Amino acid sequence: MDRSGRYSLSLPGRFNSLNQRLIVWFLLTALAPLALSSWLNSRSTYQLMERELHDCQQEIARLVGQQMHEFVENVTLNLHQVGYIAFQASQTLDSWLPDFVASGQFFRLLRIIGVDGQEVARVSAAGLADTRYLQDVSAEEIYFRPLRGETYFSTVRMNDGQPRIDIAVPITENSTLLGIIAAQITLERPWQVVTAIQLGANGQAYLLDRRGNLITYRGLIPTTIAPSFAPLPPVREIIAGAAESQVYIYDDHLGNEVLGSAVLVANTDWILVIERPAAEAYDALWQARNNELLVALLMLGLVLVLAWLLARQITHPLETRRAAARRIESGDLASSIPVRGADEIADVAQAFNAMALRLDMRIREINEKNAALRLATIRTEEAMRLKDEFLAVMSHELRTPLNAILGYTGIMLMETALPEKEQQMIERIEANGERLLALITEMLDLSRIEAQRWHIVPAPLLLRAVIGRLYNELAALAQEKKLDFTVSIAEDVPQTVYLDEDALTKILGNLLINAFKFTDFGAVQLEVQAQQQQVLFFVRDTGRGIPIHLQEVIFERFRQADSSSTRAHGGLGLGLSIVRHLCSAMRGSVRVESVVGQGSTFVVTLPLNLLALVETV
Amino acid sequence: MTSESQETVFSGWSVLVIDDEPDSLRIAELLLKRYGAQVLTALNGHEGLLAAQIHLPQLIIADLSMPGMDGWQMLAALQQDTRLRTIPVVALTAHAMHGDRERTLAAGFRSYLTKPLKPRTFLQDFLLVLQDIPELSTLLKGN
Repeated sequence: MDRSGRYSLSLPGRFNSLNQRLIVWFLLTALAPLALSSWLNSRSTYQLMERELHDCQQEIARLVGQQMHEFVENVTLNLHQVGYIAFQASQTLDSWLPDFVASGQFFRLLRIIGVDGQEVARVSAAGLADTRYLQDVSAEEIYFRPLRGETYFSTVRMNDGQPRIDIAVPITENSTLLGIIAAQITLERPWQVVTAIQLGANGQAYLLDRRGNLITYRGLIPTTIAPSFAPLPPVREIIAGAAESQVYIYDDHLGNEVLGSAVLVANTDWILVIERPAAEAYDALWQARNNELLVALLMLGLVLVLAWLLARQITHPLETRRAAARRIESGDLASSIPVRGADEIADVAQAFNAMALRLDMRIREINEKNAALRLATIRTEEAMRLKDEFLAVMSHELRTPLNAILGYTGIMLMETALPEKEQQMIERIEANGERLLALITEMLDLSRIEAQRWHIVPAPLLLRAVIGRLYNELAALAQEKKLDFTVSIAEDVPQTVYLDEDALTKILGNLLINAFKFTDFGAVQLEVQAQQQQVLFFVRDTGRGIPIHLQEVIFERFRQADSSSTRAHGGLGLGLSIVRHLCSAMRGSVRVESVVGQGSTFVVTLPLNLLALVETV
Repeated sequence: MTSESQETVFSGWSVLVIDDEPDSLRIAELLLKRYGAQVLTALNGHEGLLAAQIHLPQLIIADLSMPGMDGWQMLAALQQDTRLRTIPVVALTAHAMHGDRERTLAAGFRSYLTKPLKPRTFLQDFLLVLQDIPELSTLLKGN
């Protein structure tokens, strides 16, 4: 449940990521060229439009400049004509000049200046001024500029709420200077022309003089407090000498970002500046750009939908197959994946179905085999139980008659009245009986160990009492072979140890019986020492000894140092194997030290407290 | 001890041996008789109890596992009888199983002998058993 739960969480995630990867790749494939072409297209369109915008701006400036030029030309031409007439008929000025001024459109005040710089006449719409008011202007620009043949333009000043300017021209006849005529001209007309110019919603035009001071402006600004416009980039360009400036984007004197250009009005010192707010000028461009962006976004959406559909086209069949695969995984092997079409995915589905079929078959096979195995196991266990039971019964049943035989023969042998021949035969019966008993005992011990039926149960033991009993049991054997049998227990060995008595008795018994078996002269000694948390038993004999190369082998099953000795000494050679088994079962060990011809020492090391050791594990 | 004195070491003793295996019983009887004891035998707990009531032996040696009334039950029955309660009972155990020794002593057996009885070491073994029963060891010849 847990397992399938984990899978059902991770699998869709993986499919989703495939879906996502596909969508991403499709998008990249479609969008990369789209984005590139849109960008290039948009960029060139923008540049084109911008250039057109600038051209248009300059064209307007140029046209207005032209217009201004024509106006000035017209004015100067008129002034020349009037001046010429005035100098030709200087005696009758008062008869017509005031009328001319009054009827004129531009001239507010006419001053006729002689070659010496003395005002000859001053005429306004009201008439000829009294000669008392005539001035000497020989030190003024209005005099010496025309004297050099130039047309003089004064700075613009406000008069009666209108921008006015003085223009002075030299009047010549046959290269002879007759005098100078100066006129105060209202700039109402060019002012109207210029201020009427509107570029877009908020565009404007204004005139500056050569120094960058304002001549006309839509909002009437007194020239005295108007800022200098000289630093503006297009104005600077004109002041530097150009007739026509580039189009610039800059902040105007109010701090608004504007698109501006300027032209020098021909034959004058006037600079015409045309400005329009940059935001407004570029509005169309940005509009166009936004439109393109919108189109691009729409296309992105379209591509996204298409990519999603395409990805789904691929992953959807996978997903339905995955669902079926999941059913198979959860054990429903009979369910198969629908196969549609003949594409690769259909192949995958077919492969899946085949696999599920195979799995189903294999699982059935395994289940059958498992059932058979279970049956076999039950039978085996039953057989093992029967074997153990059999061995237990046999142990008793074999030993009972054998014990009877040995009992009776023993009693017979104690009688001294037997003839020698019979005595010998009965001794053989007893010896063979003992051998048989040893065989049966070893076999049963080993089968108990093999079947793991020898349960080690540590319990408190009075070690000296256990060894005393063992000594009593074996003393007779020593007596028989006339061997010296001693036991010594070190004082520091505790009174109570915690071991399995049955196993300990078996270990020491087997070692001692072996010692007696293989020792013909001398002594057998059991020595007990305590060392840290261990008790050490040394079983020493003065027997024939065990060669080094056999010292390990003797602990293996059915092995004795001398194969031929099996027959002579009885037993199956299982004694030491059993000793080793029992030692390790009690967390101890057994080893042998021996010199051939001098004897052997078996050393058994066991924990003093097996109970504590078992409990802590 | 000389061989002759050995043969009369238990003379005058009456010992009741109870065992369901006839051969085992017979061997015990032969060995005890060999050392001079007067031997009574019984093949199960009931017979043993009856024999004890009739003959009032000085010592009872009883096998533990027997059909019918086993050694444990017989001991319990003996302890119910005020006349028999004082007779020491020695257990005859087939093989020293875990805790058998402790259990026999705890149940009221005075000592135990391990089966099979070995003729060669019987006297020694039996004398050891008698060390656990001081009131009998004073009866030994030569003490």
